[in-house]
Amino acid sequence: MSSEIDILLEIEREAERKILDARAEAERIVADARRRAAEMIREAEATDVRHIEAEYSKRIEDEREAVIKKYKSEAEAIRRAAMEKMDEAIELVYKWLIKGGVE
Amino acid sequence: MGVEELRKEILEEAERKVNEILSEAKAEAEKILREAEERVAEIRRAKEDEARKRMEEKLRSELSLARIEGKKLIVNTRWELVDEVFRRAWERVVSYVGSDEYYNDFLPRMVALGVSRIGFDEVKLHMNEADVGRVRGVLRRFAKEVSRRVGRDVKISISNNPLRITGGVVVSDPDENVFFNASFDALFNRAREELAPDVFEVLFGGG
Repeated sequence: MSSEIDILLEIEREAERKILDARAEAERIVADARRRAAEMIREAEATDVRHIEAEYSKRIEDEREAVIKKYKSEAEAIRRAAMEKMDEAIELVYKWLIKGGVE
Repeated sequence: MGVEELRKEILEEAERKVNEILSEAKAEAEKILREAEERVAEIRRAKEDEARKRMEEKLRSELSLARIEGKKLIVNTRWELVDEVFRRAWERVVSYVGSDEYYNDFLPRMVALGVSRIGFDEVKLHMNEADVGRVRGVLRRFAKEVSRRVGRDVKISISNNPLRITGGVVVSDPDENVFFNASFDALFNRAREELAPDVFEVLFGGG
């Protein structure tokens, strides 16, 4: 009789150990998942955006040059048109001076 | 129930408990990793959006500066051309000074104008050294021409201190209290101020 009780007690202890081991394993599984999650988030925080910056830098340069080119072209057109009126303008100033600034 | 049956029941119960514990832990771990993946996607999207927003702002700013630079270029081009007009007009004036027309028409005309403006019939003329020499040599004829233009007798003297001017004349009363400045240098400064709008209109006006 007493040996049957001892056997049952031993079996209970064995069951208890299995459950405790399972709980320890469960904690390790969850802790590992948390560590991995934290690592993933850290990596995401350090996301490299240089490819975006490079793409825009090229675009900025191209569009800036286009704007300047447009204005240079406009300035040249103004110059060409004005040169055709240059003599008329010079005459206006010269005549005014020769008249002594009197209308 | 025998010992063996009890043993089996206890161990089977323990096994069910173990499986339940491990199953819940795996489900919990999967949930943690799934949520982390969602968070990672959110973070990456936010970083890329922020980078794009920052670079769009930089693009706008650079283009705005480029447009300002371009407009300055247009303004500078116009002013260079206006300056060219005045520069060339001045060259013509410098050629005109010392000509017959300068001595026979311009100078007496300016002196006559000076006489009317300052209100004196006796005046002193201030000119550059070359003009002093030339006019002094023909002073009587010169004074007669001025008197004709004014319509009454005008007495003229010439200052002994020549001016450092390109040409033209400064007319004063004999005591040098009142002046009429018809030097080309002063006229040119006035011309720049008064005629710039007209020059602009000629060079860049519509049509």
